[in-house]
Amino acid sequence: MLWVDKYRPTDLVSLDYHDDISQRLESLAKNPASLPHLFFYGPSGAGKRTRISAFLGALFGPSAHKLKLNQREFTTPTGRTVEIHMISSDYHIELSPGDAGTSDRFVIQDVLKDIASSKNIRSSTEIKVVVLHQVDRLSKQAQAALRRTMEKYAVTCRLILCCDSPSKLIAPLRSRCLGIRVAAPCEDEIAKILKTVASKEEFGLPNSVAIKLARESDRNLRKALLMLEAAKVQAAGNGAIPENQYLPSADWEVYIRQLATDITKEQSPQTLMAAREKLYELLVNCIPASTILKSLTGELLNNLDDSVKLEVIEWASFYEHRIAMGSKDIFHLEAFVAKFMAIYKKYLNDLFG
Amino acid sequence: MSSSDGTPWVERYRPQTLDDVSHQTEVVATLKNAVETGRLPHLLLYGPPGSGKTSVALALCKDLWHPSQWRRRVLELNASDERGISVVREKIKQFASLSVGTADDTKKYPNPPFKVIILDEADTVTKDAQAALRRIIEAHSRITRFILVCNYVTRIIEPLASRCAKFRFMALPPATMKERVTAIAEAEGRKNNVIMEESQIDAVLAVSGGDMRRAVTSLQSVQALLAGQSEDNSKNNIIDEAAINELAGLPPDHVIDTLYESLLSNRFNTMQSAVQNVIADGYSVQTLLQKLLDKFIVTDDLDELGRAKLAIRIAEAEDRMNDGADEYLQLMTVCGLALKCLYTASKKMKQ
Repeated sequence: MLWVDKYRPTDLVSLDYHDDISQRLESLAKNPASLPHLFFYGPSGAGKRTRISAFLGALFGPSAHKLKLNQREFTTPTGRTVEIHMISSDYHIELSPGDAGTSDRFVIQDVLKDIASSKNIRSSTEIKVVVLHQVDRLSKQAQAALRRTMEKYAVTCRLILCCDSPSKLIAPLRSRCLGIRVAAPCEDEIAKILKTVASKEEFGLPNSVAIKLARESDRNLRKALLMLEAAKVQAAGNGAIPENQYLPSADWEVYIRQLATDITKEQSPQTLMAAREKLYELLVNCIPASTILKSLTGELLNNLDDSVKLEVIEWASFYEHRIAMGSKDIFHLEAFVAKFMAIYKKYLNDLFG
Repeated sequence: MSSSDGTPWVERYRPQTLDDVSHQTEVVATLKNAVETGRLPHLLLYGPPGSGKTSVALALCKDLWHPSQWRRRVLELNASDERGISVVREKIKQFASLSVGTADDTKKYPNPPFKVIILDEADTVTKDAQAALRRIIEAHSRITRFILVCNYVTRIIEPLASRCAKFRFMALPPATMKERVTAIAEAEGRKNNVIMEESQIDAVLAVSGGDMRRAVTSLQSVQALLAGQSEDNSKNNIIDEAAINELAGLPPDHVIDTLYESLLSNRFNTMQSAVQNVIADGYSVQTLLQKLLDKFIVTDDLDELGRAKLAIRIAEAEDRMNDGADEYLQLMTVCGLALKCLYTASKKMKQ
């Protein structure tokens, strides 16, 4: 079992940070009948899911953690079938309806109607909970469909929505929920948690390494823990992690860093061709295009003069929008690389005449 | 302990008759007249969310017919129902073309001889389906009235809009809302043993921005929290204005101030790390942009040109985020431009 899962807190009391949120959730859990719909948002690795499952535990007791995975088929009115994986306990169902692509609204309708129309005989508290993950991936239609559904079935069934970027959820839905913002833990909190994990695993973790890991993780606790585990494996043996332990970054990050160096070094059709290969390699390995663009921009900004940074970031946001709108990612990524080369070349020419 | 059942308060305190509807006096007066005479045009109700459009439509129906008649007289369709062109052709057309008898057991009600179809969230009906509606509205206007309810009247095709009497709903002013919200707070508070202070109600109203539904939903959330806490006084943390803002998803002022501060620095890296922090804290970029815009408009640090440029860029960023673009990059673009504009303006001022 990965440490990320092994040391995941399972009840509200043992959550490590954001005590105010934990307290709020606790007081909500005491009174299930008046529970509003909830909307958890915050960056990834901040602990949204952990809080949701801890909250469900507080609401329904330990049996809410007895999960089973099942698969369900939905047939859309147009005759297409979609398969969706769902995680359920006796009291709740979790699913990410975004997986259904364009048929997402039928999935939502079906699941909600199913759940809301049957009453739970096993539980004393009458409400049931549907957790929808990654609601930012839902189509606008599906979100509009949720508006009324949420109100109609509110008597028997509460929704918990969860996503990274709240801006992608339409305002009418946001205003129907109690928003719970889960901020990413700060570096000190991450370092502290890393130390606790290390002591539970019984190996030494120097302060400097813990702080370095926390800083490298971009305030993402999941990433920090995975990096810690990787570092431990590399350090080998069962002793402490040495002070000067090299902390590996993910392969794709190294790759993007290299790409950034390449295109700042030379701007020519040849490098563009080489860049294309790199981009394809990244895409083939299932790195989402917008993530590629974001980290590439991040790397580029590091080596640039302030005067061109604005232009680069403007174009980055322009092409990222195109990626979201279009369907062929490689075009937009390459266009960005070419655009960057043009901007940078011009800057160099102006500088040296 | 609470005795409340699960109905959301928004539903429980929906106005039951036209008289109960607050603030929209003009609309209500016209419609009441229509109820008395039994003559009703097709209606198009539009306005911002939470201003009472759906409530008025439902209250109107409640005033017109005895509850037993509803099933036969009223068809309510909204965006969660299937509403492609096929539904318009089949469901709506079928309902619209059925003729109605007169019920005589309901003397108290005006009981006019027609039916009503309420199309809620009509701006999400596809263009094709709207076009199909045109003919249906006309052909069956003798026995069926349509009430279209929507937020954006511009998304209703012109031929359809011109067939209806249009009513614009205004966002509710805080004073009107306060009366209502206080009443709800007291009624519910008595059940749950929760006493809300006036400052808390004011804070709820402030975050709602004239949206009654949002106000009532926030009120319910706040009371749910207070009810949970009152049972266990040991860790009673107070729900103050800041907490209510937080529940509504609004960023607190100091976050905006810190971000703005970084924009004045004219250093890209300072701005970048400030933006990264805001994103990591999980604030909604849309509301951040809104607050930033408010700040840009009133500040003396900018010249007119800079203000205009920033307003355009913010609009663009909002549009792109609606399309599903990344929040971080969009916020960076806006802040990058702000950095530049603030710098040029400050240079000009020194001269």
